[in-house]
Parts: sequence; C-alpha cells; structure tokens
Amino acid sequence: MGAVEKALPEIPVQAKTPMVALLGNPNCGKTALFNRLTGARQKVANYAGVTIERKEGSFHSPAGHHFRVLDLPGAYSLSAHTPDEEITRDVVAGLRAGDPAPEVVVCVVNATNLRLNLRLVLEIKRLGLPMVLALNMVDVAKKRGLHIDADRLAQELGMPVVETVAVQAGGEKSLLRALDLMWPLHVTPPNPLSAIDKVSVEETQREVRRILDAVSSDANDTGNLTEKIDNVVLHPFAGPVILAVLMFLVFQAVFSWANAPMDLIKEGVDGVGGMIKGVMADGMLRSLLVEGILGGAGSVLVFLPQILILFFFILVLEDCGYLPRAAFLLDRLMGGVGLSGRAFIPLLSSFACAIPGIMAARTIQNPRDRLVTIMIAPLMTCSARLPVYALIIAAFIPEREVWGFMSLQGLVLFALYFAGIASAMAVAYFFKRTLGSKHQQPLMLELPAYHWPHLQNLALGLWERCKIFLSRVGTIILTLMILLWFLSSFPGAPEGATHPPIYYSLAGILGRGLEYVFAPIGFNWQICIALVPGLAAREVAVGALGTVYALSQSGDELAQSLTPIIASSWALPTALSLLAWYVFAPQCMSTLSVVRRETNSMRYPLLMAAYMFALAYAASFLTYRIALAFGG
Amino acid sequence: MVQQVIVAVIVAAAVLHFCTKYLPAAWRRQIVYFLTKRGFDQEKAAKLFNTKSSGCGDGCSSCGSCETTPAETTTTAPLKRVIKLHVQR
Repeated sequence: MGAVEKALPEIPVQAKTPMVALLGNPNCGKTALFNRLTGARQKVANYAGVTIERKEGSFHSPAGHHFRVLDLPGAYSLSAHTPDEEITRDVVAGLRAGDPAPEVVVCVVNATNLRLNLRLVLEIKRLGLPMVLALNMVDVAKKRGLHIDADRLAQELGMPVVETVAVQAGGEKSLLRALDLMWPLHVTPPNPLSAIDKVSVEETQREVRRILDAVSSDANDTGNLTEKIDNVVLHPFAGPVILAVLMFLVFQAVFSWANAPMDLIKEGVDGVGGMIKGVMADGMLRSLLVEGILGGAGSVLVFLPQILILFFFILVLEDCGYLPRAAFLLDRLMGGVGLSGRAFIPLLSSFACAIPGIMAARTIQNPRDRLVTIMIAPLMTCSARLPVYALIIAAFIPEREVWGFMSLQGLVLFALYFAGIASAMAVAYFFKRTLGSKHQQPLMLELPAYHWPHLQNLALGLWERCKIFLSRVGTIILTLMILLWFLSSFPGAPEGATHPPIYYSLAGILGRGLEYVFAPIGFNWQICIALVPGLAAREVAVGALGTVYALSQSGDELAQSLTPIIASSWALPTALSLLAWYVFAPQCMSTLSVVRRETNSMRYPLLMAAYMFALAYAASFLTYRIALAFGG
Repeated sequence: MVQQVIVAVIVAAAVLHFCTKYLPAAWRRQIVYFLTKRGFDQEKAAKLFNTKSSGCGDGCSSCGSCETTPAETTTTAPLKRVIKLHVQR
C-alpha cells in the first residue's frame, strides 16, 4: 500500500517537538482527551463521527516536555472506507507527503467496550510504532462492576496501559506521566500497512477474546442500564412516539420559557431607545440610532432566549446519548427516500446552521449520497429561521392552549420544523428518482452508553451559541441595518407626499419594484425591502423589518416593538405566506458559498438556489391563496 | 450639522466594513483591481479587502469553515490542511 518499506535507524528527536496521535474507535473520548490535554474547546458529543478532520494542538507535560498532539477521526479499522477514516490511516502510517508518522500513538479505548475496541489496537500494534493504551471511561466501567487488570493488559499487549477519564479535570494525568516516562522519544518508521493484513480479522478477534478472558472480569457486572433504556426507547412502536413527544416538548418550551427573558431584553432595548430620545434632539443621528440600529439589531437581539432554550435541549439530548438513537429510529425513513444512514449527522448539524452540516457530509462515502445530503441540508430549520418564525407566530398565532396542555404557538413552531424535515425527505426522494440509486447504504452506528449531561459541556455549548448569535447581531446585522437605514432615508419625501419618507427612498423604490413579483404571494413593499438584506442571513430580515416599520410609522402609530406593528399591518394570509417562504427560501449567501466550495462547482449552488426559490414561491403562493379562500 | 457629519462617518464605516468583509471574494478582488488602476497601493488594498480570504462572510466562526479547505472531489484524496490550536495548559 505504498508505506515505508525500508527500515530506517532510530533517530532521537528531542531537537524537534514530538507528535502524539490520538487514535481509537469513534466516540471513545479522543476529542475530550484532546481538549483535556491542550485546554482547547473542540466540539465533543456523545455520538460517533463528530471529528471529521485531524486537529493539532500542543501541550507541556508535568516534567516540562513539549508535545504536539493530533486528534484524528475515529476508525474501527485501518482498512479505511470513508475519507475521514483515510485521514486516520494515512497519518498513522506516515503516508502523507511532508507529514512523518507520529512518534507515539495513544490508542484511546472505551473501557466498557474492549471487545470492539481492542481489535484496532492490535492492528495498530502491527505497524510497530511506540504506543500507549489509554483505558478511557474507567469510571463508567467501575460503576458497572467491570474489573479490568491494567497491569496484566499492559503485559498482554506489550505497551503501557493508563487509566483515563477524559471528561473529568485531572483525568489525563496518568497519560501525561506515561508520556514523560517514554522520553526521549525516537522516530520509528512504521511497518507497511500490508503488515495489518498478515493476520486475518477472525484471528485478531480470537486474540481479543483471549486477552479479555485474561484481563477482565464481568462477574460483578450490574447489568447495562443503557440496554434496559434502549428496550423502550428503540421499541418499534414506542420509540418513534417518544421521539415525537420529545421534539414536541422542546418546541413547547421554546415559547413557554422564553417570555420573561425576552420581555426583559425588549424592555432594555426600549429603555435605551427612550433614553436616546430623551437626551438627543430630533435629527438624522437620532433616527439612525433609534430606528436604524435599535429598531433593527434590537429586534433580533430579543430572540436570544428562544435560541438558547432550543440549543439547551439539543445539547442535553446530544450529551446524554439520545441523538444516535434518533438516527437509528429515522434510518428506515431516510433509507426509503434514498438517503445514506450517514446523512443523519450532517442533517442534524444543519438544525444549528447548514454550513457545518454541509461540511459534515464529507463523511459520506458515496458521491451521489453526499451531493443529495448537501442539497437538502439547508431545508433543515436552522437557528437563523427561529427569529423569523417566532416574530410571525407571536404576532399572528394567539397565545392559547390546545386540549388544555399544549401551547398553540409551540404547536405551530413544531409544524414548521416538521415541514422542513418533510420537504427535505421529499426532495431527497425526488433526487433518488432522478439521479438514480443503485443500493441503499446500510447504517452502521455504535450506540453510546447513556449518561447524565455534563454541566460544563452544556454551559460551554450554550456560551458558544450565545457568542455566535451576539457576534452576528454585532457585525453583519448591525452593518446591514445601518446601510438599510441609509437606503430607507434618502432621498427624502417630496413636497406634498402622502406616504412616509421611506416610500420614496431608494429602498422604497426597490421594494415597490419587487412588489410586482411578490404581490401574488401576498408580500407588501415593506416585506420586499426586508427580503433583500435578508439574503445575507435569514435573521437579518427581522432586523430589516424592524428598521423599515420604524421608519414607516409616525406620530401616535410609532411603537417600539415590532410584533404589534406587523400584527396590525399584515393580514393573516400574508403572515402564513411569509412563514411558508422561510421554510424553503435559500436566504443565506453563506450556505450557497460553502456549497460551491464543497462541490468545487457553481452548478450545484445555482441548482440549489433555483429549486429552493421555486419551492418557496410555490409554497407561499398556495398558502396565501388557500388562506384567502378560507377567508383569512 | 454635527449629527449629519457623525451619520456620514458611521454610514461610510458600514459601507467599508461591508465591502471588505461580506462581499464575495471575487468582487473584493475586482475592487482591488479597480483601485490599483487608479493609483492605490495594490498590497495595501489587497490587505484591506482581505482578498486571500474565501470565508463565507457570515460574521461568525460558528462552523470553522473559514479555517478549513473544501473536501476533495474524489474520495481517495485526503484533506490537506490541519487546524492548528496552540493552547497552553
């Protein structure tokens, strides 16, 4: 396989920083250990396939030695089948030009599942590289009553074995000590990859069983709680019902829990607006600050609590290990429409933002499946749609209970998320019929053990989402709101004008021009103006509506909050039509840009924009006309 | 008058920020070409308009896509660049 065939003499490497590679099965805690060693905050989740690129960091050991460390994508074997597994294989075998093999391989194994994990260890051992075995999750194994004799395991494998708990502070100390003991490190050229195939898989597995019999005892195993929970959660009938109920409760909470913090932010924004009006004379600067910046960026800021509540639930489900079960439950549905089982993680990531979802599609082996996943990823309801949905729902859907326990607003939000998923499945089915699908790719997914979510992970995850949202409000949204205010304020109204000045402005002229195209789906000229900056990112449309309506109001009409303004300005069919538009419309240039980069072609982003705009227009048209017919 | 001057400065800064940060890379390169033809220092203009960046311009670093290269079109070719994190413990 083209590896280094010639044995080279060992060369001491203290002169340069030695490289430590973290290697192991998916979801055994490599990235958590990487974060623990380097102090980094790479994404960690309780399911396989989170790491799709190798990541490099560095650290100093307690003895003061400096190491570089590589976090590699998880693999079950060095016989790679996907691009991410190939990265792992090539790095360890030193097959990458300009990248020598690592000086030490730290093989991370899940102590509760050695039967599966040790096969890779034996494979890597045949490469002849210096190795350390990190017996991770020993705390979980001990709680279950599994006893593993680490010293005996070290004897059997012929390498140091250390116990680690990557999710606990200090859980990496034994590994650091082991690395210090190996100092000074030597460059050891790896054996050719063909060495792995010298022993058959069956023989390797027999060796794994022999070692396990010698080193571990499960006589005190208290039983696997995960299996007991899975008997219910993965039940063919109860499983999908539980999934639907969970998702439903999440969307109920988004509306029920967010009211108080949203009111607080709203009052804060209004208070700042009132203060500026109090201290500043009426003029251009005051208009920019109050109607442009506070009316625009402030309208978006209000939705921060709802976004955090949604991500709180997603992070909890992710950390406790439920999400891969959801993949398992949905696999039959996804396979039926021609999607690969591996598409679940990219599509799941797309609920936060389509961009990481599209990038995560790299783990899909089949180019056709990967393309279909990329093409439908933007249909998953990303967090940028939430402010748009929440604004319209709050303005038009009454805050009342259905059947005594469900919030109608939460129900509508749930329906919109469901509409996104259903349309993605329909589009995937269409691609399956047109592009052709020779076979259904089976889903091989290791279901992780359930555990209580780690509060630190949760807090960090929420903090990251908060930073991302605030950074967008403070950068792209703020910039576009200033530009929109300018375009909406100049030139001023002519003498004898009967409309507000914005009607005669550059933005007003553009909006009125676009109204000819969008009038059949019920959009007025103010909505048309908001759609243009909304192309940069979906939530910008909310800010744009805030600015446009702030400039459209005058005298007694002027209200600080956007929700009552649109409730009085739009008819219900228009609101429903705009909701339908945002389910489909590709109102995000960043997504199209990343699709071009990932497919290395202009063809697919153009195809994506065309089919999504066509779907959006058709859906809005139907929604608007049907709502009008029902007397909306 | 003072208000108008301040507004002009804020709007000009927003235009500059938008052009240097959120326009597509090809457009930014065109602007640099245009400015260079009119006597601007090419190196400074290229630096200001960040022509080497192909970031998606979404105003955040939520996905790390700005730091990575796109996936290769063939499944056998490995990804080239490493994301480097040098954090002291």
